[in-house]
Amino acid sequence: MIAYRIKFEKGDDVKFISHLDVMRYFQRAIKRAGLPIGYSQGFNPHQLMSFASPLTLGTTSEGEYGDFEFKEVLPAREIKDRLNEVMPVGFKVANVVRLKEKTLNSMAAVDAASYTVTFNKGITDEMLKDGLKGYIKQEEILVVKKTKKSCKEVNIREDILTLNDISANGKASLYMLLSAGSRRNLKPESVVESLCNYFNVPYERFMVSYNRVDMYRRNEKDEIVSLDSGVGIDE
Amino acid sequence: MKRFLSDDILLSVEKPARYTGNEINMVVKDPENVDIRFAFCFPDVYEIGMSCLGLQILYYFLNRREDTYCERVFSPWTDLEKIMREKDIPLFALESQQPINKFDFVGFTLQYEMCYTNVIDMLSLAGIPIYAKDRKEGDPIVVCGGTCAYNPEPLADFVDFFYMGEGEVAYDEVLDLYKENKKNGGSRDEFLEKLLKIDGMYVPKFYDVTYKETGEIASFEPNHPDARKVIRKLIVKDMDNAFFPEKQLVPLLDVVHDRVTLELFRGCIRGCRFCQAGFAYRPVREKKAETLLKQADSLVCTSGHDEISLISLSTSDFTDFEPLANGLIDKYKEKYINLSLPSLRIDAFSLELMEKLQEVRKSSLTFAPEAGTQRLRDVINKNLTEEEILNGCALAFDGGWDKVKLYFMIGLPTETDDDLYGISNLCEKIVERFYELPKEKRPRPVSVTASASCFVPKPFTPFQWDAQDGYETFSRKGGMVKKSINRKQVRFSYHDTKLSALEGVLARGDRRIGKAIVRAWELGCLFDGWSEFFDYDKWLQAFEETGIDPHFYANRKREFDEILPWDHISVGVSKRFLIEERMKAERAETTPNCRQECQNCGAKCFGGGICFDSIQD
Repeated sequence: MIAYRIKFEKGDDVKFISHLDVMRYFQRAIKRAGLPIGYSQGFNPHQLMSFASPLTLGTTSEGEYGDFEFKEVLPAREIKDRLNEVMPVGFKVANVVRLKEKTLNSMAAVDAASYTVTFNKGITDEMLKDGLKGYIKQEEILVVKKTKKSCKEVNIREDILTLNDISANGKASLYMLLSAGSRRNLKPESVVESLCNYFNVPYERFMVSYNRVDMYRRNEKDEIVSLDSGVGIDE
Repeated sequence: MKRFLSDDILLSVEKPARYTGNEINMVVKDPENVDIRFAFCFPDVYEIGMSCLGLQILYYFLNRREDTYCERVFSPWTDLEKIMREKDIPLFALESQQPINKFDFVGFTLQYEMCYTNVIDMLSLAGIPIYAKDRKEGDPIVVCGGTCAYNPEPLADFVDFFYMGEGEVAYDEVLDLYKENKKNGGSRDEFLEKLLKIDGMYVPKFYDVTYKETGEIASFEPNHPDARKVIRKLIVKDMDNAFFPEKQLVPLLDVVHDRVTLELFRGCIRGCRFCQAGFAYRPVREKKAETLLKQADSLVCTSGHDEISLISLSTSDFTDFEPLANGLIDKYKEKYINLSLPSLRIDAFSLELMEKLQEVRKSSLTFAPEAGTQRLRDVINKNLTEEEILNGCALAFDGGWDKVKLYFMIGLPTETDDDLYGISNLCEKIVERFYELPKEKRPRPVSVTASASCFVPKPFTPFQWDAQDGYETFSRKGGMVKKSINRKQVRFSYHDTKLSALEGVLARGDRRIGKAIVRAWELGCLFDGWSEFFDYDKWLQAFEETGIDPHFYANRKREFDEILPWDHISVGVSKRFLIEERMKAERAETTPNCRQECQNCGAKCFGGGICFDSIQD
């Protein structure tokens, strides 16, 4: 099997499709495109594909990733074009790389994700201009984490890797780079919630729109790089 | 594209993708550039409606016209319905994301009676007057079709016209007529009057009903010179050259049946006496295997589905069934596309085919004996013997299957306690057959799941005059069967008896029950087919408040000469034939199927299908 990593966008038109349905969408797109996908062995063979960190419903993304195993070698460009041809609305393949042998799969490789967050109400650009520095300077940022069994306070400060004010045209917006993946994970919603607390603004679920910009891994030098960077075979 | 609902509403409801459209193969047109806007409404939730083959066919059929934009509308789920009511948000179409209250047509497909409150709800949500008489110029024309339209009367007050039969036949004529009428500045009424000239169109307002003191219909007469005394359904005669879409809408969320659907034929040769479809869809009209293989190919390529389902009333009766099934399996095996056969008859089952299907993927095995004893199976003309059932199961067990699902009915005409105990006997005999296999052939224990539905007499069947059991009787009978099952490998369950009781009222209802449907809806009834929402007490209250006696409709035996509410509709099958069949049922006498011997049921009047094939033989 030959493994490829596919980076794709999930646009506004399809942002209400769940993670599970995104996978089914790709299974069908692969079939429509007639690409030589590999299948698992066993009684219920399934296509060999896996996706990196799931996206919250209602969030758009410019940087989603899936790893696909094909039965034959194809030019990366051809895979991209053939998929885009059969995905008319909302999804778009941005990049395809053929993976080096023994590349960690995208799901396991994710270490961080970046987002842009735009406030529709509540927090204003003025508030960010005056107060964001103070927020980020805190040594501890405590957030209540609810699990099925209990509620406990956790410190999310260490998982906020970058937090920048990118407000423009009077609209309050943030860029954030957060821990993501199986080792440490922080949702942008938690940051927004704690910001509201900090600014003493009531938190509402629909006060912001989220867009994931990209997903990253830490390379051998502990640098944060995109999931499709440094893993490909040059063709 | 701009969505009709705001993000915060979409994020606060379950499965928002039900409302956002953009499915693969969705038709995109500029609404400004068409003459006719048609809202195709399915009065149930998205996942059910999107699984409907009729919707898929008519959607592309109507959209193949450049002057028409057909868009889909489903019942919003209860969470969104509540928000739409609170915030005064009108019902909208998925394609253009625009409200439907200014569309030219609002069409409903009626697949089951329990959707009637949803029809009312959708009209109301759309802001369209519920009663046809209240609609003004500029309001959409409301049309209904589908299986339940064959008894149009319960919805007659709410619908401008009913289309009887298969949509491909006359929708072009209807739309051309509408367009011309509109161009000439004609009114709604003028359009409806002109419709009377087209076969198969029933416009309820042009008919008057009177009733006897006893409640039966005294007369049912046209009140317009052009209105026909009898409206005969329309059928496609040549299925090979009939329109069939080359693509299929592929939903973006998991729906009930998410697969390529191939329609092998329409109609059914069997004539099971309880089955409305078996009579209403006559005569049998098949497609050629060659046509089907071609259609499968284009649907598979354009959808990306991993399953092909062969759809018909009795799939294994297809003339070239084995070569077709083998052809499809061989062709698609290496592409990992599974073949699913939803309605195989146990007597026509082939071990070879079963084994072949298993190579790709194993699906569940389902049989429908319908009744527990041979006598009762003869009464309902289910030409299937116990030996055939048991041998079929034995073959299946030998082929490695260990799960059998069985469908029965309780409350069938002439049923006795013996027939009910026959259900448990048959299930246990199947288990015994399993244990006759050598031990190495049965690594897992067998599981037999039997479920019984409650018999509902339907229009256009030989049992259309029969009294239905009350729900208490259904429950007693269901409990009796359950108690009589002694083997732990057999599980038995029966359907909601009150639901069947209501279905019995709606199925054979007349015009008068329309007001009870509206009242039930006002009381909050919606999604009546969903057990979590079905509220029988509210329906009883609605019947009481509107002066309707449900027993009059469900539990009363009619005389053969009574005027039935659907007597002005013809499905081709004659009343004389249905009466003969009813009398044969009483004597437990079976009737040969259409392929064995023509019984002159009346369906020959359409001039096509199996009625003429057999003459050539």
